[in-house]
Amino acid sequence: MIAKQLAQPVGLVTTSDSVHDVARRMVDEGLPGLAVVADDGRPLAVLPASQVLGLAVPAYIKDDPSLARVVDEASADRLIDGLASLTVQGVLDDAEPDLLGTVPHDATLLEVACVMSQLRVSFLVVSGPDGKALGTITAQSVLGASLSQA
Amino acid sequence: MTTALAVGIFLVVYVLIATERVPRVVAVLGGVAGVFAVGIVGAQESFYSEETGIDWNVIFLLLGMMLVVAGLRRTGLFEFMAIWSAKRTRGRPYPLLVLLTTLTAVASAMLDNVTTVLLVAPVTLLVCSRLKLNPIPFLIAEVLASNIGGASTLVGDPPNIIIGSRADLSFVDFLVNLGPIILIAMVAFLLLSRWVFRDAFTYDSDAAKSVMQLDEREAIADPKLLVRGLVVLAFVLVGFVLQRSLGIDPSIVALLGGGAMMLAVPGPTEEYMKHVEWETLVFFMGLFVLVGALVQVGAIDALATALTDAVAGDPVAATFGILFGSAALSAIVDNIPYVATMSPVVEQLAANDPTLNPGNVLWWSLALGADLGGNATAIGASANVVVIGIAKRYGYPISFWQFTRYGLLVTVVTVVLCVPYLWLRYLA
Repeated sequence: MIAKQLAQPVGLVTTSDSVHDVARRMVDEGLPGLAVVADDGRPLAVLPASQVLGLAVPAYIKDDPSLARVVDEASADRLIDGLASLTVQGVLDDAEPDLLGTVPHDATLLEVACVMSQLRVSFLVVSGPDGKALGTITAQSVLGASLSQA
Repeated sequence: MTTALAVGIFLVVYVLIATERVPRVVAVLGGVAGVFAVGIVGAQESFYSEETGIDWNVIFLLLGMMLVVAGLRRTGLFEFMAIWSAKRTRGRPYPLLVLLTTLTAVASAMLDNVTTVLLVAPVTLLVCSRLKLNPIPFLIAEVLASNIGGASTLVGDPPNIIIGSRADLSFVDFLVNLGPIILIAMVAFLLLSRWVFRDAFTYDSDAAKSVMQLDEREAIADPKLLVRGLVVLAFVLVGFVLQRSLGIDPSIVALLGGGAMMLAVPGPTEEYMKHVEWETLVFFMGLFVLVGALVQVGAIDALATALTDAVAGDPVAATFGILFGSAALSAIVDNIPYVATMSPVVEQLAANDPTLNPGNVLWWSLALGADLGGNATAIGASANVVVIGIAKRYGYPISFWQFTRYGLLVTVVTVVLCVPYLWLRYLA
Protein backbone atom coordinates (compact mmCIF):
# COMPACT_ATOMS: atom_id res chain seq x y z
CA MET A 1 0.00 0.00 0.00
CA ILE A 2 1.24 3.52 -0.76
CA ALA A 3 0.53 6.94 0.69
CA LYS A 4 -1.69 8.03 -2.20
CA GLN A 5 -4.17 5.27 -1.34
CA LEU A 6 -4.53 6.53 2.22
CA ALA A 7 -4.53 10.28 1.52
CA GLN A 8 -7.76 12.07 2.41
CA PRO A 9 -8.59 15.39 0.76
CA VAL A 10 -9.29 17.00 4.11
CA GLY A 11 -7.47 19.24 6.53
CA LEU A 12 -5.95 21.67 4.04
CA VAL A 13 -5.71 25.34 5.03
CA THR A 14 -4.04 28.41 3.54
CA THR A 15 -1.62 30.87 5.04
CA SER A 16 -4.22 33.63 5.32
CA ASP A 17 -6.56 31.56 7.55
CA SER A 18 -6.68 32.58 11.18
CA VAL A 19 -5.27 30.14 13.71
CA HIS A 20 -8.52 30.45 15.63
CA ASP A 21 -10.45 29.13 12.59
CA VAL A 22 -7.86 26.40 12.10
CA ALA A 23 -8.42 25.26 15.69
CA ARG A 24 -12.16 25.25 15.09
CA ARG A 25 -11.74 23.05 11.99
CA MET A 26 -9.54 20.59 13.86
CA VAL A 27 -12.27 20.19 16.44
CA ASP A 28 -15.14 20.01 13.95
CA GLU A 29 -13.37 17.56 11.61
CA GLY A 30 -11.80 15.53 14.43
CA LEU A 31 -8.30 15.87 12.97
CA PRO A 32 -4.98 15.71 14.87
CA GLY A 33 -3.65 18.54 12.68
CA LEU A 34 -4.01 20.40 9.40
CA ALA A 35 -1.81 20.87 6.36
CA VAL A 36 -0.93 24.34 5.16
CA VAL A 37 -0.85 24.78 1.38
CA ALA A 38 0.21 27.70 -0.79
CA ASP A 39 -2.18 29.36 -3.26
CA ASP A 40 -0.87 27.07 -6.04
CA GLY A 41 -1.58 23.95 -3.95
CA ARG A 42 2.00 23.23 -2.85
CA PRO A 43 2.25 21.89 0.71
CA LEU A 44 4.04 24.33 2.98
CA ALA A 45 3.78 22.85 6.45
CA VAL A 46 1.95 20.63 8.85
CA LEU A 47 0.24 22.26 11.77
CA PRO A 48 -0.36 19.65 14.47
CA ALA A 49 -3.03 20.33 17.12
CA SER A 50 -0.35 20.14 19.79
CA GLN A 51 1.43 23.06 18.16
CA VAL A 52 -1.73 25.12 18.02
CA LEU A 53 -2.14 24.46 21.73
CA GLY A 54 1.49 25.44 22.23
CA LEU A 55 0.82 28.74 20.46
CA ALA A 56 -1.91 29.47 22.98
CA VAL A 57 0.60 29.25 25.82
CA PRO A 58 2.38 32.59 26.36
CA ALA A 59 6.16 32.44 25.97
CA TYR A 60 6.70 33.54 29.57
CA ILE A 61 4.71 30.56 30.85
CA LYS A 62 6.70 28.21 28.61
CA ASP A 63 9.83 29.65 30.25
CA ASP A 64 8.39 29.19 33.74
CA PRO A 65 5.73 26.44 33.66
CA SER A 66 4.99 26.86 37.37
CA LEU A 67 3.16 30.08 36.43
CA ALA A 68 0.52 27.99 34.62
CA ARG A 69 -0.63 26.74 38.01
CA VAL A 70 -1.17 30.20 39.49
CA VAL A 71 -3.62 31.30 36.77
CA ASP A 72 -7.24 30.89 37.85
CA GLU A 73 -9.49 28.36 36.12
CA ALA A 74 -11.73 30.91 34.38
CA SER A 75 -8.76 32.68 32.76
CA ALA A 76 -7.07 29.40 31.88
CA ASP A 77 -10.23 28.25 30.09
CA ARG A 78 -9.86 31.19 27.70
CA LEU A 79 -6.34 30.25 26.60
CA ILE A 80 -7.37 30.19 22.94
CA ASP A 81 -8.41 33.89 23.02
CA GLY A 82 -4.84 34.94 22.39
CA LEU A 83 -4.89 33.31 18.95
CA ALA A 84 -7.69 35.47 17.54
CA SER A 85 -5.38 37.87 15.73
CA LEU A 86 -2.81 35.27 14.66
CA THR A 87 -2.76 33.93 11.08
CA VAL A 88 -1.21 30.71 9.85
CA GLN A 89 1.43 32.79 8.04
CA GLY A 90 2.43 34.29 11.39
CA VAL A 91 2.94 30.81 12.77
CA LEU A 92 5.05 29.73 9.81
CA ASP A 93 7.25 32.83 10.12
CA ASP A 94 8.28 31.73 13.61
CA ALA A 95 8.25 27.99 12.95
CA GLU A 96 11.18 25.60 13.06
CA PRO A 97 12.41 24.53 9.61
CA ASP A 98 11.48 20.87 10.18
CA LEU A 99 7.80 21.73 10.46
CA LEU A 100 7.21 20.65 6.86
CA GLY A 101 6.07 17.04 7.13
CA THR A 102 5.47 15.83 3.62
CA VAL A 103 5.68 12.42 1.97
CA PRO A 104 5.52 11.68 -1.76
CA HIS A 105 2.39 9.99 -3.12
CA ASP A 106 4.23 6.72 -3.71
CA ALA A 107 5.75 6.44 -0.22
CA THR A 108 5.21 3.05 1.43
CA LEU A 109 3.70 2.66 4.90
CA LEU A 110 7.20 2.13 6.29
CA GLU A 111 8.40 5.41 4.76
CA VAL A 112 5.38 7.24 6.11
CA ALA A 113 5.86 5.72 9.57
CA CYS A 114 9.55 6.64 9.45
CA VAL A 115 8.85 10.31 8.64
CA MET A 116 6.14 10.52 11.32
CA SER A 117 8.42 9.08 13.98
CA GLN A 118 11.34 11.29 12.95
CA LEU A 119 9.24 14.46 13.10
CA ARG A 120 7.22 13.19 16.07
CA VAL A 121 3.94 14.07 14.37
CA SER A 122 0.83 11.99 13.78
CA PHE A 123 -0.17 13.81 10.64
CA LEU A 124 1.52 14.34 7.24
CA VAL A 125 0.79 15.89 3.87
CA VAL A 126 0.87 13.65 0.77
CA SER A 127 2.21 15.44 -2.28
CA GLY A 128 1.34 14.41 -5.81
CA PRO A 129 3.66 14.02 -8.84
CA ASP A 130 3.12 17.71 -9.69
CA GLY A 131 4.18 18.77 -6.17
CA LYS A 132 0.67 19.80 -5.14
CA ALA A 133 -0.96 18.47 -1.99
CA LEU A 134 -3.16 15.46 -2.61
CA GLY A 135 -4.46 15.31 0.92
CA THR A 136 -3.43 14.31 4.39
CA ILE A 137 -2.56 11.08 6.11
CA THR A 138 -2.81 10.28 9.82
CA ALA A 139 -0.97 7.84 12.07
CA GLN A 140 -4.30 6.13 12.73
CA SER A 141 -4.87 5.45 9.03
CA VAL A 142 -1.32 4.08 8.67
CA LEU A 143 -1.80 1.77 11.67
CA GLY A 144 -5.22 0.71 10.38
CA ALA A 145 -3.88 -0.07 6.93
CA SER A 146 -1.00 -2.06 8.35
CA LEU A 147 -3.28 -4.03 10.68
CA SER A 148 -5.57 -4.88 7.78
CA GLN A 149 -2.61 -6.43 5.95
CA ALA A 150 -1.55 -8.52 8.94
CA MET B 1 58.74 41.53 22.56
CA THR B 2 56.95 39.10 24.88
CA THR B 3 55.24 42.01 26.64
CA ALA B 4 54.04 43.47 23.35
CA LEU B 5 52.72 40.06 22.30
CA ALA B 6 50.84 39.54 25.58
CA VAL B 7 49.34 43.04 25.46
CA GLY B 8 48.52 42.66 21.75
CA ILE B 9 46.70 39.35 22.27
CA PHE B 10 44.85 40.80 25.25
CA LEU B 11 43.70 43.88 23.32
CA VAL B 12 42.51 41.80 20.37
CA VAL B 13 40.47 39.62 22.73
CA TYR B 14 39.04 42.70 24.43
CA VAL B 15 37.99 44.22 21.12
CA LEU B 16 36.37 40.92 20.07
CA ILE B 17 34.46 40.76 23.36
CA ALA B 18 33.35 44.39 23.14
CA THR B 19 32.26 44.18 19.51
CA GLU B 20 30.69 40.73 19.92
CA ARG B 21 32.16 39.69 16.58
CA VAL B 22 32.58 36.18 17.97
CA PRO B 23 31.12 34.58 21.11
CA ARG B 24 33.02 35.93 24.11
CA VAL B 25 34.11 32.48 25.25
CA VAL B 26 35.59 31.80 21.80
CA ALA B 27 37.44 35.13 21.90
CA VAL B 28 38.92 34.35 25.29
CA LEU B 29 39.89 30.78 24.47
CA GLY B 30 41.49 32.02 21.24
CA GLY B 31 43.56 34.43 23.33
CA VAL B 32 44.48 31.64 25.75
CA ALA B 33 45.66 29.53 22.82
CA GLY B 34 47.75 32.51 21.72
CA VAL B 35 49.52 33.07 25.05
CA PHE B 36 50.18 29.34 25.40
CA ALA B 37 51.40 29.00 21.81
CA VAL B 38 53.97 31.78 22.12
CA GLY B 39 55.07 30.50 25.51
CA ILE B 40 54.18 33.55 27.62
CA VAL B 41 52.71 31.27 30.27
CA GLY B 42 52.56 27.52 30.72
CA ALA B 43 50.58 25.04 32.79
CA GLN B 44 52.45 25.89 35.98
CA GLU B 45 51.74 29.62 35.75
CA SER B 46 48.15 29.22 34.57
CA PHE B 47 46.83 26.35 36.65
CA TYR B 48 48.79 26.39 39.91
CA SER B 49 50.13 29.90 40.54
CA GLU B 50 48.22 32.22 42.89
CA GLU B 51 49.78 35.21 41.16
CA THR B 52 49.23 34.39 37.51
CA GLY B 53 46.88 31.42 37.47
CA ILE B 54 43.17 30.76 37.34
CA ASP B 55 41.46 31.94 40.51
CA TRP B 56 39.79 28.67 41.48
CA ASN B 57 38.09 30.35 44.44
CA VAL B 58 36.08 32.43 41.98
CA ILE B 59 35.29 29.47 39.71
CA PHE B 60 34.09 27.22 42.53
CA LEU B 61 32.20 30.01 44.29
CA LEU B 62 30.30 30.62 41.07
CA LEU B 63 29.73 26.89 40.51
CA GLY B 64 28.46 26.37 44.07
CA MET B 65 26.05 29.31 43.89
CA MET B 66 24.75 28.17 40.50
CA LEU B 67 23.86 24.81 42.08
CA VAL B 68 22.21 26.55 45.05
CA VAL B 69 20.11 28.65 42.65
CA ALA B 70 19.27 25.61 40.49
CA GLY B 71 17.74 23.97 43.56
CA LEU B 72 15.90 27.11 44.69
CA ARG B 73 14.27 27.67 41.32
CA ARG B 74 12.73 24.20 41.58
CA THR B 75 10.82 25.28 44.69
CA GLY B 76 8.72 28.08 43.12
CA LEU B 77 9.75 30.48 45.90
CA PHE B 78 10.47 33.37 43.61
CA GLU B 79 7.18 33.13 41.72
CA PHE B 80 5.33 32.93 45.03
CA MET B 81 6.97 36.08 46.35
CA ALA B 82 6.51 38.05 43.13
CA ILE B 83 2.79 37.25 42.84
CA TRP B 84 2.25 37.78 46.55
CA SER B 85 3.88 41.21 46.17
CA ALA B 86 1.74 42.07 43.14
CA LYS B 87 -1.42 41.19 45.06
CA ARG B 88 -0.38 43.33 48.03
CA THR B 89 -0.22 46.34 45.69
CA ARG B 90 -3.78 45.58 44.49
CA GLY B 91 -2.61 46.20 40.94
CA ARG B 92 -1.46 49.79 41.45
CA PRO B 93 1.44 50.22 38.99
CA TYR B 94 3.97 52.28 40.96
CA PRO B 95 3.73 50.26 44.18
CA LEU B 96 3.95 47.16 41.98
CA LEU B 97 7.18 48.45 40.42
CA VAL B 98 8.55 49.29 43.86
CA LEU B 99 7.85 45.83 45.24
CA LEU B 100 9.05 43.91 42.19
CA THR B 101 12.27 45.92 41.90
CA THR B 102 12.93 45.67 45.64
CA LEU B 103 12.39 41.93 45.50
CA THR B 104 14.76 41.76 42.52
CA ALA B 105 17.41 43.85 44.28
CA VAL B 106 17.27 41.76 47.47
CA ALA B 107 17.36 38.49 45.51
CA SER B 108 20.26 39.82 43.42
CA ALA B 109 22.26 40.39 46.59
CA MET B 110 22.11 36.64 47.25
CA LEU B 111 21.89 35.17 43.76
CA ASP B 112 23.63 36.19 40.58
CA ASN B 113 21.94 38.94 38.57
CA VAL B 114 21.34 36.96 35.41
CA THR B 115 19.53 34.21 37.31
CA THR B 116 17.46 36.73 39.21
CA VAL B 117 16.22 38.52 36.10
CA LEU B 118 15.55 35.18 34.41
CA LEU B 119 13.32 34.31 37.36
CA VAL B 120 11.54 37.64 37.65
CA ALA B 121 10.93 38.35 33.93
CA PRO B 122 8.25 35.66 33.26
CA VAL B 123 6.24 36.55 36.36
CA THR B 124 6.48 40.24 35.46
CA LEU B 125 5.03 39.49 32.04
CA LEU B 126 2.18 37.55 33.63
CA VAL B 127 1.30 40.34 36.06
CA CYS B 128 1.65 43.09 33.44
CA SER B 129 -0.52 41.21 30.94
CA ARG B 130 -3.17 40.87 33.66
CA LEU B 131 -2.96 44.59 34.43
CA LYS B 132 -2.85 45.55 30.73
CA LEU B 133 0.43 47.37 31.41
CA ASN B 134 3.40 47.75 29.09
CA PRO B 135 5.99 45.40 30.67
CA ILE B 136 9.05 47.16 29.18
CA PRO B 137 9.48 49.83 31.92
CA PHE B 138 9.07 47.10 34.54
CA LEU B 139 11.67 44.85 32.91
CA ILE B 140 14.14 47.72 32.54
CA ALA B 141 13.57 48.81 36.15
CA GLU B 142 14.10 45.25 37.38
CA VAL B 143 17.42 44.79 35.61
CA LEU B 144 18.64 48.17 36.87
CA ALA B 145 17.61 47.19 40.42
CA SER B 146 19.30 43.83 39.97
CA ASN B 147 22.62 45.48 39.11
CA ILE B 148 22.26 47.90 42.04
CA GLY B 149 21.26 45.23 44.58
CA GLY B 150 23.93 42.80 43.37
CA ALA B 151 26.63 45.33 44.22
CA SER B 152 25.95 45.01 47.95
CA THR B 153 27.42 41.55 48.60
CA LEU B 154 30.34 39.32 47.74
CA VAL B 155 28.14 36.91 45.76
CA GLY B 156 25.72 39.43 44.25
CA ASP B 157 27.71 40.34 41.18
CA PRO B 158 30.57 38.45 39.49
CA PRO B 159 32.95 41.47 39.64
CA ASN B 160 32.55 41.42 43.43
CA ILE B 161 33.53 37.75 43.55
CA ILE B 162 36.72 38.56 41.63
CA ILE B 163 37.46 41.55 43.88
CA GLY B 164 36.71 39.58 47.06
CA SER B 165 39.07 36.81 46.09
CA ARG B 166 41.88 39.09 44.94
CA ALA B 167 41.67 41.44 47.96
CA ASP B 168 40.71 38.77 50.50
CA LEU B 169 37.51 40.59 51.39
CA SER B 170 34.71 38.61 53.04
CA PHE B 171 30.94 38.57 52.58
CA VAL B 172 30.59 40.69 55.72
CA ASP B 173 33.22 43.17 54.47
CA PHE B 174 31.15 43.75 51.34
CA LEU B 175 27.87 44.00 53.22
CA VAL B 176 29.20 46.43 55.81
CA ASN B 177 31.06 48.64 53.35
CA LEU B 178 28.78 48.56 50.31
CA GLY B 179 25.42 47.74 51.92
CA PRO B 180 24.71 51.29 53.21
CA ILE B 181 25.46 53.06 49.94
CA ILE B 182 23.52 50.48 47.95
CA LEU B 183 20.55 51.03 50.25
CA ILE B 184 20.79 54.77 49.59
CA ALA B 185 21.21 54.18 45.85
CA MET B 186 18.19 51.88 45.83
CA VAL B 187 15.97 54.45 47.57
CA ALA B 188 17.14 57.09 45.10
CA PHE B 189 16.43 54.72 42.22
CA LEU B 190 12.88 54.03 43.45
CA LEU B 191 12.17 57.75 43.79
CA LEU B 192 13.65 58.38 40.36
CA SER B 193 11.52 55.58 38.90
CA ARG B 194 8.34 57.40 39.91
CA TRP B 195 9.34 60.12 37.48
CA VAL B 196 11.21 58.35 34.65
CA PHE B 197 8.65 55.58 34.20
CA ARG B 198 5.59 57.78 34.92
CA ASP B 199 4.03 57.09 31.49
CA ALA B 200 3.79 53.39 32.35
CA PHE B 201 1.68 53.88 35.45
CA THR B 202 -1.87 53.61 34.13
CA TYR B 203 -4.39 52.03 36.47
CA ASP B 204 -7.31 49.88 35.32
CA SER B 205 -9.52 48.81 38.21
CA ASP B 206 -11.09 45.89 36.31
CA ALA B 207 -7.67 44.61 35.25
CA ALA B 208 -6.44 45.00 38.82
CA LYS B 209 -9.15 42.60 39.96
CA SER B 210 -7.75 39.90 37.66
CA VAL B 211 -4.40 40.05 39.47
CA MET B 212 -6.22 39.24 42.68
CA GLN B 213 -7.44 36.02 41.03
CA LEU B 214 -3.87 34.67 40.77
CA ASP B 215 -3.11 32.03 43.37
CA GLU B 216 0.52 32.39 44.45
CA ARG B 217 0.36 29.26 46.62
CA GLU B 218 0.03 27.17 43.46
CA ALA B 219 3.57 28.23 42.47
CA ILE B 220 4.92 26.11 45.32
CA ALA B 221 4.95 22.59 43.90
CA ASP B 222 6.00 20.91 47.15
CA PRO B 223 6.11 22.86 50.45
CA LYS B 224 8.56 20.35 51.95
CA LEU B 225 11.05 21.03 49.16
CA LEU B 226 10.62 24.75 49.71
CA VAL B 227 11.37 24.44 53.42
CA ARG B 228 14.43 22.29 52.74
CA GLY B 229 15.66 24.71 50.07
CA LEU B 230 15.24 27.66 52.42
CA VAL B 231 17.10 25.86 55.19
CA VAL B 232 20.05 25.22 52.86
CA LEU B 233 20.00 28.84 51.69
CA ALA B 234 19.98 30.01 55.32
CA PHE B 235 22.98 27.79 56.09
CA VAL B 236 24.83 29.15 53.06
CA LEU B 237 24.19 32.75 54.13
CA VAL B 238 25.22 31.98 57.73
CA GLY B 239 28.30 30.24 56.31
CA PHE B 240 29.21 33.37 54.34
CA VAL B 241 28.77 35.56 57.41
CA LEU B 242 30.85 33.25 59.64
CA GLN B 243 33.30 32.21 56.93
CA ARG B 244 36.16 34.32 58.26
CA SER B 245 35.83 33.09 61.86
CA LEU B 246 35.35 29.52 60.70
CA GLY B 247 38.53 29.78 58.65
CA ILE B 248 37.01 28.57 55.39
CA ASP B 249 36.91 30.21 51.99
CA PRO B 250 33.64 31.47 50.45
CA SER B 251 34.09 28.98 47.62
CA ILE B 252 33.97 26.11 50.11
CA VAL B 253 30.78 27.52 51.65
CA ALA B 254 29.19 27.75 48.19
CA LEU B 255 30.30 24.25 47.18
CA LEU B 256 28.96 22.77 50.43
CA GLY B 257 25.72 24.68 49.83
CA GLY B 258 25.48 23.42 46.24
CA GLY B 259 25.97 19.83 47.33
CA ALA B 260 23.51 20.20 50.21
CA MET B 261 20.94 21.73 47.88
CA MET B 262 21.21 18.78 45.48
CA LEU B 263 20.53 16.45 48.40
CA ALA B 264 17.79 18.55 50.02
CA VAL B 265 15.90 19.37 46.83
CA PRO B 266 16.43 16.19 44.84
CA GLY B 267 15.95 16.27 41.10
CA PRO B 268 17.49 14.91 37.94
CA THR B 269 21.23 15.58 37.88
CA GLU B 270 20.84 16.81 34.30
CA GLU B 271 18.40 19.46 35.53
CA TYR B 272 20.99 20.79 37.98
CA MET B 273 23.79 20.64 35.42
CA LYS B 274 21.60 22.47 32.89
CA HIS B 275 21.47 25.47 35.19
CA VAL B 276 25.24 25.62 35.65
CA GLU B 277 26.49 28.21 33.19
CA TRP B 278 29.48 26.25 31.97
CA GLU B 279 30.21 28.84 29.30
CA THR B 280 30.53 31.54 31.96
CA LEU B 281 32.89 29.39 34.01
CA VAL B 282 35.09 28.70 30.98
CA PHE B 283 35.01 32.41 30.15
CA PHE B 284 36.27 33.24 33.64
CA MET B 285 39.03 30.64 33.46
CA GLY B 286 40.20 32.00 30.11
CA LEU B 287 40.16 35.56 31.41
CA PHE B 288 42.30 34.63 34.38
CA VAL B 289 44.87 32.99 32.09
CA LEU B 290 44.99 36.09 29.87
CA VAL B 291 45.32 38.50 32.80
CA GLY B 292 47.89 36.14 34.33
CA ALA B 293 49.94 36.48 31.13
CA LEU B 294 49.88 40.28 31.57
CA VAL B 295 51.05 39.87 35.17
CA GLN B 296 53.74 37.44 34.04
CA VAL B 297 55.26 39.88 31.53
CA GLY B 298 55.08 42.81 33.96
CA ALA B 299 52.44 44.80 32.07
CA ILE B 300 50.12 45.01 35.07
CA ASP B 301 52.98 46.14 37.29
CA ALA B 302 53.94 48.84 34.79
CA LEU B 303 50.34 50.08 34.55
CA ALA B 304 50.00 50.17 38.35
CA THR B 305 53.28 52.07 38.67
CA ALA B 306 52.12 54.60 36.07
CA LEU B 307 48.83 55.05 37.95
CA THR B 308 50.70 55.42 41.25
CA ASP B 309 52.78 58.21 39.71
CA ALA B 310 49.69 59.80 38.16
CA VAL B 311 47.77 60.07 41.43
CA ALA B 312 50.91 61.26 43.23
CA GLY B 313 49.94 59.95 46.64
CA ASP B 314 46.48 61.55 46.56
CA PRO B 315 43.87 58.99 47.72
CA VAL B 316 41.01 61.26 46.60
CA ALA B 317 42.26 61.31 43.04
CA ALA B 318 42.89 57.55 43.11
CA THR B 319 39.47 56.74 44.60
CA PHE B 320 37.37 58.90 42.33
CA GLY B 321 39.54 58.17 39.31
CA ILE B 322 38.82 54.48 39.80
CA LEU B 323 35.13 55.09 40.57
CA PHE B 324 34.36 57.19 37.51
CA GLY B 325 36.82 55.40 35.23
CA SER B 326 35.30 52.06 36.15
CA ALA B 327 31.75 53.33 35.66
CA ALA B 328 32.61 54.76 32.24
CA LEU B 329 34.49 51.66 31.04
CA SER B 330 31.91 49.23 32.43
CA ALA B 331 29.26 51.02 30.43
CA ILE B 332 31.12 50.19 27.25
CA VAL B 333 32.58 46.75 27.94
CA ASP B 334 31.29 43.89 30.06
CA ASN B 335 32.28 44.62 33.66
CA ILE B 336 33.61 41.08 34.26
CA PRO B 337 36.67 41.28 31.98
CA TYR B 338 37.17 44.87 33.12
CA VAL B 339 37.36 43.91 36.80
CA ALA B 340 39.43 40.80 36.07
CA THR B 341 41.99 43.13 34.46
CA MET B 342 41.80 45.94 36.98
CA SER B 343 41.95 43.80 40.14
CA PRO B 344 45.69 43.06 39.89
CA VAL B 345 46.26 46.71 38.95
CA VAL B 346 44.42 47.96 42.06
CA GLU B 347 46.22 45.36 44.18
CA GLN B 348 49.57 46.62 42.93
CA LEU B 349 48.51 50.25 43.31
CA ALA B 350 47.59 49.64 46.97
CA ALA B 351 50.85 47.75 47.54
CA ASN B 352 52.94 50.51 45.95
CA ASP B 353 51.41 53.17 48.19
CA PRO B 354 49.25 51.88 51.09
CA THR B 355 48.17 55.44 51.99
CA LEU B 356 46.05 55.44 48.80
CA ASN B 357 43.84 52.68 50.15
CA PRO B 358 42.45 53.61 53.61
CA GLY B 359 39.75 51.11 54.59
CA ASN B 360 40.14 49.37 51.21
CA VAL B 361 38.50 52.37 49.56
CA LEU B 362 40.15 51.59 46.22
CA TRP B 363 38.47 48.17 46.16
CA TRP B 364 35.08 49.64 47.08
CA SER B 365 35.35 52.30 44.40
CA LEU B 366 36.28 49.63 41.85
CA ALA B 367 33.28 47.49 42.86
CA LEU B 368 30.83 50.41 42.89
CA GLY B 369 32.09 51.86 39.63
CA ALA B 370 32.03 48.55 37.78
CA ASP B 371 28.72 47.28 39.22
CA LEU B 372 26.76 50.51 38.92
CA GLY B 373 28.42 51.46 35.63
CA GLY B 374 27.05 48.23 34.16
CA ASN B 375 23.60 49.86 34.22
CA ALA B 376 24.55 52.66 31.85
CA THR B 377 24.04 50.90 28.53
CA ALA B 378 22.25 47.90 27.11
CA ILE B 379 25.54 45.99 26.92
CA GLY B 380 27.09 47.14 30.21
CA ALA B 381 26.19 44.01 32.19
CA SER B 382 25.24 40.44 31.31
CA ALA B 383 21.82 40.84 32.96
CA ASN B 384 20.97 43.76 30.64
CA VAL B 385 21.72 41.68 27.57
CA VAL B 386 19.68 38.77 28.93
CA VAL B 387 16.59 40.88 29.70
CA ILE B 388 16.69 42.58 26.32
CA GLY B 389 16.83 39.13 24.69
CA ILE B 390 13.91 37.84 26.77
CA ALA B 391 11.81 40.93 26.11
CA LYS B 392 12.33 40.53 22.37
CA ARG B 393 11.29 36.89 22.53
CA TYR B 394 8.14 37.85 24.42
CA GLY B 395 7.22 40.37 21.73
CA TYR B 396 8.38 43.54 23.54
CA PRO B 397 11.64 44.58 21.87
CA ILE B 398 13.77 47.07 23.81
CA SER B 399 16.14 49.13 21.68
CA PHE B 400 19.70 49.94 22.74
CA TRP B 401 18.83 53.62 23.17
CA GLN B 402 15.55 52.95 24.94
CA PHE B 403 17.46 51.05 27.61
CA THR B 404 20.40 53.44 27.67
CA ARG B 405 18.14 56.49 28.15
CA TYR B 406 17.00 55.12 31.50
CA GLY B 407 20.20 53.26 32.40
CA LEU B 408 22.52 56.21 31.88
CA LEU B 409 20.44 58.47 34.10
CA VAL B 410 20.28 55.87 36.86
CA THR B 411 24.03 55.26 36.57
CA VAL B 412 24.89 58.95 36.84
CA VAL B 413 22.65 59.41 39.89
CA THR B 414 23.84 56.29 41.72
CA VAL B 415 27.55 56.79 40.97
CA VAL B 416 27.40 60.45 42.01
CA LEU B 417 25.76 59.36 45.28
CA CYS B 418 28.86 57.22 45.94
CA VAL B 419 31.10 60.31 45.99
CA PRO B 420 29.96 61.80 49.33
CA TYR B 421 29.67 58.31 50.79
CA LEU B 422 33.25 57.31 49.94
CA TRP B 423 34.55 60.73 50.89
CA LEU B 424 32.87 60.89 54.29
CA ARG B 425 33.49 57.28 55.24
CA TYR B 426 37.05 56.71 54.06
CA LEU B 427 38.74 59.93 53.00
CA ALA B 428 37.55 62.83 55.19
